[in-house]
Amino acid sequence: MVLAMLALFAAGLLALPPRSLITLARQNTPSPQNAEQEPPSSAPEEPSSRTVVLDPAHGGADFGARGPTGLAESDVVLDFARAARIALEAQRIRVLLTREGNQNPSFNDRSAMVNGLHNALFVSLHVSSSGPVGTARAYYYLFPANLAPAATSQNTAPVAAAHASLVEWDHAQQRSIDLSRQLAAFVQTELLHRFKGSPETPIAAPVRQLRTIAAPAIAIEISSIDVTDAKRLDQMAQPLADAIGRAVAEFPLPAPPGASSGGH
Amino acid sequence: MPRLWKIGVAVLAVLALAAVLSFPSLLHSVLGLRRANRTDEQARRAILPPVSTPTDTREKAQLFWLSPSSPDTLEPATLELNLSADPQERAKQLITALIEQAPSQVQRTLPADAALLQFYLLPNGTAIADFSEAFGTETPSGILNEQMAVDSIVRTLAANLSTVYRLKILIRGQDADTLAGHLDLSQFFTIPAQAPPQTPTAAAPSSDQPIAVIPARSNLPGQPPSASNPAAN
Repeated sequence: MVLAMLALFAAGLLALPPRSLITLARQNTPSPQNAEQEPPSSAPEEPSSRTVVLDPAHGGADFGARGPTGLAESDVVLDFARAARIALEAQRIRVLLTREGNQNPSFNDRSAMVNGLHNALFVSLHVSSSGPVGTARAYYYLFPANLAPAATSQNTAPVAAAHASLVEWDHAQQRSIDLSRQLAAFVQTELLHRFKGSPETPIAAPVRQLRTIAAPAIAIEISSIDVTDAKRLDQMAQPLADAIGRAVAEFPLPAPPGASSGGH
Repeated sequence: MPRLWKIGVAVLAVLALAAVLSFPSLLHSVLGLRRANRTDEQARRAILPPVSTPTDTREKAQLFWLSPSSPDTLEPATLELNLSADPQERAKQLITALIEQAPSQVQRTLPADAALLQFYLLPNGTAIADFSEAFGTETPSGILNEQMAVDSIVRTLAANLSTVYRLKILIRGQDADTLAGHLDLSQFFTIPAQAPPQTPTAAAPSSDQPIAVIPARSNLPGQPPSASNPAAN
C-alpha cells in the first residue's frame, strides 16, 4: 500500500510539465545534487550570501568545439570552472558547478540549479571553434524589444497578483536582463585587462542557455580551441578565474527579495 | 600427406581464389556506398530547382562573410548576381549565393554542404528559412561562430531586401533549440531596417563589431512590421 502510494507520488512528479514555472523550483530546497556539489570550504566562517553557479558547457557525449589535436571544449571549460571556483571561494563566495565531471545536464537542468536559489549569479563558460586566439568575450541574452511581460494582465486582482509573481520558464531571463548586462560589463572590463584584443564591451546574443535563467546570467567564450598547443588555453585559466573572481566580487547585487525582479 | 588434408587444402585454395576474384567487385560496392553517403547533401541540393525566375536581372548585391583579417567581424562584399524581382525568390538567391560563393574557406560563414531547402515570405514581412541538416551539424560550434553564421544571413537580407522584417530558421522543417549548441533558434531574428543600396558599392555597414543578432518575438502572428525593428545595442 505504502509502495503503491509512493509510486503514485513519483508518477505525479514525473507528470509535471517539463517547462514549468519557476515558482515551483523556488519552493524546493536545492537538490541533493547541489548539496553534494557544495564545497565543504564554503560552510564555515560565515560565507558571502551570494552564490555563483559556474556552468562548464557541454559534457558527456557532447564535446563542444574540437581542436586540431583532439582537445575538447568540454574538458577545457571544466578546468576553467575549477580554477574560477578556487578564485571565488578565496573570496568566501559560495560556488556550485553545473557538472563536476563528464556529465551533460540539459539546458533546463542547468537552469534549474540556479533558479532554485536566491541571490545567485550564473556564469556559463565556453571555448569557440575559431576566432582571435587569446581573446575573451562576455555575452548577455538579448530579448526582442517588443517581447511582452511574461505575466499577462488578468481580470481579477488576485489572479493578476499571482501571475505577476510568476516567471515564465522559457523567458525567465527577461526579468534579470539589466543585471545580466551590468554583470557582463563588469566581467568584460576585467577580461579586457587580461586578454588584449578582446572587445571593450559585452555582446548581446541569444545564447540558449541564458534564456531560462531567472538570475543575472552571462556566458564567457574564450577563443579558441583551434590551437596546436593546449598550453595556450591552460595559460588562460588563471587570468580568466581572476577576472571572474574580481568582477563577481565587485558586482553589486540588489537585496535578495528584489533580486530577481530588477529588470522590470 | 593424408587424403583428408589434401581435400582441406584444396577447399581452402578454392575459397581463397573465390575471395580474390570477388574482392574487386566487393571493393567497388563499398566505395559506391561510401560515395552515396558523402554526396547525400549534394544530391539533395541537386534535386532542388535552380533559383531563377523570369524577372531575374543582373544586379549588384552586398553579401556578408567573415573578414579575412578579423575572424570575429563580418565584412560586406559586392557581387553581381541574377536577382529576382520577387522578394521570396530574391532571398533564396541571396542565401544560396552566401553558401556557394564564399570568397574563401576562412571567410565562409555557412557550411559548404548546407542547403537552403525552402524559403517562405509571409505578407507581414516574416520570413522562414528552412535549411538542410548540415547547417546545424557542420557549423563550427561556438557562440561566436554561430552568431557570425546567423548575422551573415540577417545582414545580407537586410542589405538587399526591404520587405523582410524578421526571420525564423528551421532545420529540415523542424524547430531547432540551437544552431550548433549555443545560439537560440527558438525565436525570430529581427532584420534591421536598411534601405536597399541605391549604389551597392556605397554605404557599407560598419563591421567593427559583431552586430547583435536580435531575436524577435516568435508568437506575434499579426505583428506590424514597424514594431519588429528594435534598435540594436
